[in-house]
Amino acid sequence: MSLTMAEFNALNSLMKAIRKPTNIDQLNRLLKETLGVFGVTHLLCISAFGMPALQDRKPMFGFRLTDWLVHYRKNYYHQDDALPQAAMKLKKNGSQPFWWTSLMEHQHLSDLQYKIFREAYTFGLKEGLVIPLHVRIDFDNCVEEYAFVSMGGDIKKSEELENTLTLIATVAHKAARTILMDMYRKSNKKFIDDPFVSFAPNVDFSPLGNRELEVIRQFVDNETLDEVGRAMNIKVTTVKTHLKNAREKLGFSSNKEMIVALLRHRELS
Amino acid sequence: MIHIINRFNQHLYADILDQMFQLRHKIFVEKKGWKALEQESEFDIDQFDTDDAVYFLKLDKNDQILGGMRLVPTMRPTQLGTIFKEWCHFEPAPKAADVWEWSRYFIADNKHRSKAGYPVFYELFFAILEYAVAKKIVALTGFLEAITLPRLNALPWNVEYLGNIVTYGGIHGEVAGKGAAVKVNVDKRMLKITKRMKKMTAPYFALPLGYESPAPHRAYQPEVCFDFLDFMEQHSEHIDVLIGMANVFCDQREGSHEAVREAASEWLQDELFAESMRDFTGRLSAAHLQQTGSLTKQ
Repeated sequence: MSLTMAEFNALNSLMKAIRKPTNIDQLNRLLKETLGVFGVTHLLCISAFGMPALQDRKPMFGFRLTDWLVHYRKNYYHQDDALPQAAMKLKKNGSQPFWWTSLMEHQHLSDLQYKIFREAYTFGLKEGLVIPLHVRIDFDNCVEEYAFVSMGGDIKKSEELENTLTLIATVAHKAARTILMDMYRKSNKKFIDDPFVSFAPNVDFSPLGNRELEVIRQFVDNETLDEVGRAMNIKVTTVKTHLKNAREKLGFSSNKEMIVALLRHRELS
Repeated sequence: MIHIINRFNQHLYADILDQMFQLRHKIFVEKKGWKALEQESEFDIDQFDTDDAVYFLKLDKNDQILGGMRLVPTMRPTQLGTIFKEWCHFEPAPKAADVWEWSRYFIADNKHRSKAGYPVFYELFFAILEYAVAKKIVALTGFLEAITLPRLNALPWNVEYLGNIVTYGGIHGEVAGKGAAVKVNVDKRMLKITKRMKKMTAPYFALPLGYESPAPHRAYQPEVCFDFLDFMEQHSEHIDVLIGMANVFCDQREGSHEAVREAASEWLQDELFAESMRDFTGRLSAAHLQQTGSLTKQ
């Protein structure tokens, strides 16, 4: 390994201590201390859980560069920031981590998105890394658990640093997951193992035509395509076509996902 | 169902093992581009494919391999103890009788689903965990691809990293990859919770009784039966094999009962086998004795 002695010692200590924190604050302090040795001053882990198009996103752990955060919020940069958008696109299995500068080089960004990177640089966030973590796919319920870690600071792009930060992100995610699961289990609240319906964000069904919406509604009450066809007095192929069009318009990957979204929509409205 | 192939039953799986070595060459060398493993014979056999290795293979009805994995005892040379030694940055890979190393994990058919709808890797992993618990193995070590590491976070597994993530390959036309040396602690509780999480109930061994015996649908083949009888004549100490095979015969074909009875009566006349046979009769259940009739009385 070409890490410096200080870096290796910090990493080695973290690997031993990572199971000790009993709450997220302790974990954040431990990470800040270790990653400070590598020059990382800003870290955020976002977890997304649910069916692909309905995933609810929550921050899990991290420590922020306060000055940058204040500036970021004041300018509403969260609406345009290219990083979270690119990170969520990494959900495809097999995606690799990417460096902030690589994103700027290889992807077409708007002027505002470039401006955000330039300003981050002046706040000391000179380079950063986004690490995708594909945690779980539940085949039965089409549910995915995905997380990504974004960290930056006065660091330089290198293969070894990428590997080290990926390992730290992975073990920190495990630790945070254990802490949160334990916390919610004790408090009898619901967290990741909840029925997926309650996690789904509300979806706007207005782009659908009346017939498409009617087919989905019928699908909630009837089990098979035949039954839906009979109830609406149309052919099964027509039912399939309406469902396919609706899925494409709303970006769902399965009928099940779309129906869950409709149930959620009804519940909210 | 997963077949477990080891030194005691590998002669019954000779054709399957050949198929596995060829398949491994195809997957690791031709598909993944691990040029270091390339061999003229087009068989991927390395220094860890010894008699001590245990292979876990998922076979379909026609004995085609759908996926597999290898376990090697850490008291013998292992990958993490030799060729990947420098990748254990934090601590050396443990060497103990109850710690085994897994390697050469491959899936030949990604689309296959079991009757319960599970992909091949589910059954492979559960078979290995069941095997580890049954054989009182407390930890499994191995070099895992980086892409699989976050997946372990969703499982109730106690994973220890032996080294940092490393980049391998990428030179002389080899494909670059990333991975890390890990140690996974195994116990009954971990197996139970993992099974509950994945809604899995069945055991995944293909073995009727005693892990040394071959899986039923291979054992029914006449040539395998004869091979087996020859083997037992030379290795009477493997009583578990005998029990496992007797169960397979007795549960299945009427014609096979006669073959076992004849073999058993011959062995009984031999003083060398007398001790083994007493043990054998003692370990068969009363219900089974009733079912198999005069098998043990002769």
